Amino acid sequence: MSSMTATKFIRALWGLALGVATLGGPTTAANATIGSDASGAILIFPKVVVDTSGVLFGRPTDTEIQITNTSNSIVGVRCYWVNATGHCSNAPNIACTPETASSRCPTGGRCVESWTETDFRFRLTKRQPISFNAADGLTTFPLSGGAQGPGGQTNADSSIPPVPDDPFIGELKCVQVNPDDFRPTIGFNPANNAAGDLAGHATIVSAPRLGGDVDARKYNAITLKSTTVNNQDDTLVLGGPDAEYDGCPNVWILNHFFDGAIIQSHFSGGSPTLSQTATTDITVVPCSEDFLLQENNLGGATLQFLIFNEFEQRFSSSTRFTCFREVQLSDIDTRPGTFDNAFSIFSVAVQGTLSGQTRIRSVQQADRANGILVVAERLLTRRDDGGVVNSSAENVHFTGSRDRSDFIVLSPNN
Amino acid sequence: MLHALRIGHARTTASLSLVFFACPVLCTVAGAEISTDQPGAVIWFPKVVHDADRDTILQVSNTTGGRISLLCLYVNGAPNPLTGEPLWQVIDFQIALTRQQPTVWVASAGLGPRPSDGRPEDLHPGLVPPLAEGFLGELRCVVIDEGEVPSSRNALVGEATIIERTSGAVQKYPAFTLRSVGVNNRDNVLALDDREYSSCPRILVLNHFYDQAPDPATASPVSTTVTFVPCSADFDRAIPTTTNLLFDTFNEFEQRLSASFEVTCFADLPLTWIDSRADPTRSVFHFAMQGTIVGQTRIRPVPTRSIKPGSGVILVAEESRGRGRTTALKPHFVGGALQGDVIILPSAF
Repeated sequence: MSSMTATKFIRALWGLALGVATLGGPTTAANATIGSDASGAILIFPKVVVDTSGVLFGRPTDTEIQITNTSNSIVGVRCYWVNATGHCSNAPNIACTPETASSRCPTGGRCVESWTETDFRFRLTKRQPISFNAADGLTTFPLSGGAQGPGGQTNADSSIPPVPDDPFIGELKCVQVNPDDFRPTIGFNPANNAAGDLAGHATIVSAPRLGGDVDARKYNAITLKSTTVNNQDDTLVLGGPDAEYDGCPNVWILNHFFDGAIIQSHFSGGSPTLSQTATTDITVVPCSEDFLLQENNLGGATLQFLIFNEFEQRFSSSTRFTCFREVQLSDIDTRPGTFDNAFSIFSVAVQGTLSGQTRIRSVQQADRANGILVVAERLLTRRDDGGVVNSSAENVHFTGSRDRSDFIVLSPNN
Repeated sequence: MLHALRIGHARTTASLSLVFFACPVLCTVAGAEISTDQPGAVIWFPKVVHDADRDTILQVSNTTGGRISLLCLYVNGAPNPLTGEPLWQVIDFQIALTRQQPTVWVASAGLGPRPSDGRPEDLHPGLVPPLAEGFLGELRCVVIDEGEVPSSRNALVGEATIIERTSGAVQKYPAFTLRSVGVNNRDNVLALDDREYSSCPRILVLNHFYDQAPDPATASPVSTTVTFVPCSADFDRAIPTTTNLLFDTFNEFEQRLSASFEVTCFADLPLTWIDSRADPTRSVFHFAMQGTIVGQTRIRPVPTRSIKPGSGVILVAEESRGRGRTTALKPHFVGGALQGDVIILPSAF
């Protein structure tokens, strides 16, 4: 049988499998939710940052991406770097963030968000893990250039470009596809109900210019599992009726310290021997995205926040975002920067307790769920050591699902 | 006919066939496996430490609109200085959380019997004992009702942050949660079988750097420490659980090596110690052995002689870069355990 005939045979089997699955109805789609501790068919890294010269974040920073194929089969992957780096309105070649606009942009300039995507594709062989820096990409795969795995599989036609900007701030979205025709597919592993075979981690690493201490924070990529219904077209339906993938959750639950809280630890004889000041950043990206029209016409939502402190007292706030938002909690309801953070409802000075529970909900639209994805970073600043900052990243908890769909529209598959 | 297929196609076809034929069976047993993302009726911190350099901050939050009570058990799995075996000393305590209430305590300090910040008594969660220096173990909390019996309310989320005093490094991981998924018979035997509570994972997938592999960004060597805790535990008769773990590790060239390791009660060790304590470079988890930076290690618990019900484990890992700077690493799970585990709470007396 020729390779071409083999491909047709596989497609015929696919058609049969999908047909039967469809006849069975989308029962497994009902209340599926996303996760960060299981493999899936869509892999999302909500925050990727590169700043090799340290001009935006103070320290040279890069993001290490790990992606692995958890199945016994070769898989194809289509990915998108989403570049949300801001640039000065009056100096378009200068990167900025809302917090650094006043210092980096010429007088009168403001920081304007961008939204561009760069797509790429690759193959992962059975159980294969790969890693790469966002700043460098991965132009040569382990099993390329004639090298084969023990089963004869290869990473043929695989390449990952570096992020298109430096500094870069944005996200990475990847979709599992058939390794032969690169059309979206369900997973290959029956042990997880064919929910998808991709898993990953991102590690944001910051290092000082002259060696010394490394600061690293790591989070799991968010995965969306496939249902057994997939029509293999380039419009991916997340949740709701006719779902092809998990829907995004209804409410995100962030368990955090209020900004400015002094965290004491290492008690000895009843007295703390270490004190650090806590702040928390969140990064929010939309579940819906249109990579076909190359414009941000699906993403964006109003975010509602409910904040509970340890006295069960409740506060609320809201903000809007379009395609990507990274913000310190205290800046959600105050101006960017630190000068009025003490007046924020996310400030320990306002709340009076160390920890809080914040529930984040995006407002639905009539035609789509408007779901969001969230990761958080906690920064602890030592009070006894010249303000050294140590960070950690975390996947945020969530609950509930929505009855409407989100959509990811892929760029043409050719 | 299939001989003519390219290997990749053959494997893809085989997998699709398996999905096609197996899904009508397997899809119906889709379980609510253990999670770190969603609230649960049991919350589990597999690594809590208080020693000369490290302390742990524990955050627990009630995500529901009603008041809940928790029965919590600290288990000290630090090695007995005389025998080298885990101590397996258990301390339990109860706290209460009002609606949506978050709380936080430091392992070395706990929470006092009375509120220290002037808040009303009914907003104080309760007494949490401080841990003595030398504690290395786990914390499990179960939602209970007024009768002090297990409740089916999936209310809890939490995080643990381990702070190193010397380096200042912080590593934060989310607590594992077991959801109450069906009929809860409210006895002191919690069945982790997808009928009463979520099951433990059938396979754990750890996507990690091989030991001493150069960090791609900084070139500093990366090392990994792993902590395993068996899911089953008998707190009534104080019998620790033993589980045997099988490891398959795949490098970037898809080459596979394997190892095995037995866990009793609690294990916290460098990744390379799983198969080579004397010479880490001979370990299948060492960069010098594998030749690639990252690997995928699949961990499968298998039943052993000492337990009847199940053999599940949970795992957290820590990556260290440079001068002790660490990050927590959360594994991925595949499927629910085929044999249910049980947690037997202490009987009231």
